[in-house]
Amino acid sequence: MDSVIQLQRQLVDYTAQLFNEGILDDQFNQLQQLQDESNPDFVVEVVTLFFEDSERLLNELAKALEQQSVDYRKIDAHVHQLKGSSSSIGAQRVQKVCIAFRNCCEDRNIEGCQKCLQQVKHEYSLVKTKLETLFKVRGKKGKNKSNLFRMNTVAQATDFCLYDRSLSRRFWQQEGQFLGQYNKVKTIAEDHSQRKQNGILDM
Amino acid sequence: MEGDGGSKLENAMMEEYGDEPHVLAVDDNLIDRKLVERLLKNSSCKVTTAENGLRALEYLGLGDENKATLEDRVSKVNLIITDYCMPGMTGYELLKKIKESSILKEVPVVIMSSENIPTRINKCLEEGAQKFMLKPLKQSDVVELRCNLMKCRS
Repeated sequence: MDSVIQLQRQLVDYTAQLFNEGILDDQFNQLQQLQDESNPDFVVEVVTLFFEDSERLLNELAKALEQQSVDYRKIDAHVHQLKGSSSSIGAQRVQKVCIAFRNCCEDRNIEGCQKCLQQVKHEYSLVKTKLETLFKVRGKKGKNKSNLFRMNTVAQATDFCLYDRSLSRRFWQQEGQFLGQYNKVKTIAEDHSQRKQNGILDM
Repeated sequence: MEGDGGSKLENAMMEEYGDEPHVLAVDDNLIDRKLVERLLKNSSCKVTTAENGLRALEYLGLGDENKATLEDRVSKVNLIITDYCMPGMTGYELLKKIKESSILKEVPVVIMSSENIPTRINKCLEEGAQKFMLKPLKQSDVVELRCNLMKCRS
């Protein structure tokens, strides 16, 4: 049981770090909230689609920038797509580079575009690695669907980045009442000063 | 008494399209299609997706060769939600085509966009769009939309 709690705590730490570094933003939380026991793989499915689509777009972008006569409209269209999908899954840093990339297209700045392509590739591969790790850790919990669901809701609780170890320990100890607790904890986390009133969580 | 009347109205609205309004969601981005579909399904909507304006029009029975019956067109969808920026036909152009159709013009149309451009928003609202929503969409946006949809049916 201890190693399970350890693993879960690591997961929460890891996720919180991704938010702190701006690699993921609140939109990723929104995705997690759309996942439930009847759609337990939603996040993995969407993120996988994102990986496939992004790789396709990055290839197209590389090709387009190699052309003798660069078609900036086409490049802009691809970047617009990538900006949209990265924004939809919460890949904030990828989205930001896309914004700069579009500006370079507008200015017909070939060097700027090439630089942006390198940057966006870098940010993309970073978020990809991080998300793959996240899913691997979750995967270890494996066959027990309700565990996965609970892990997701703890990751949601980190959206306030007010991660409090004693709070998370209580989650795992009171599993059956977890969902009811989440709403209470959310209100608590939102009001920073109330966080100290852990007594509210004692059922 | 007033409370009673209110719930009777809601029940009547529920009966109109059962508990599940049928929504047509149009977006050229695969990830966004999947996301909007999930959001709508979580709000108890039946969802059909289309990847561009032409496919949407075909589905609605406004395609060139399609001579769907009146009944077909009326019963198909209760709401259309479309992205603004799409290659070929934009969401705005799709909106116009829908509003030009005597059969579909009563169907509420919602436009989504990742860009917050007031002239764009006004243009869409003037053309008859029910609502303009900023992407990425959140569950709360769709819940609000669902409530609005219920209310506007009265």
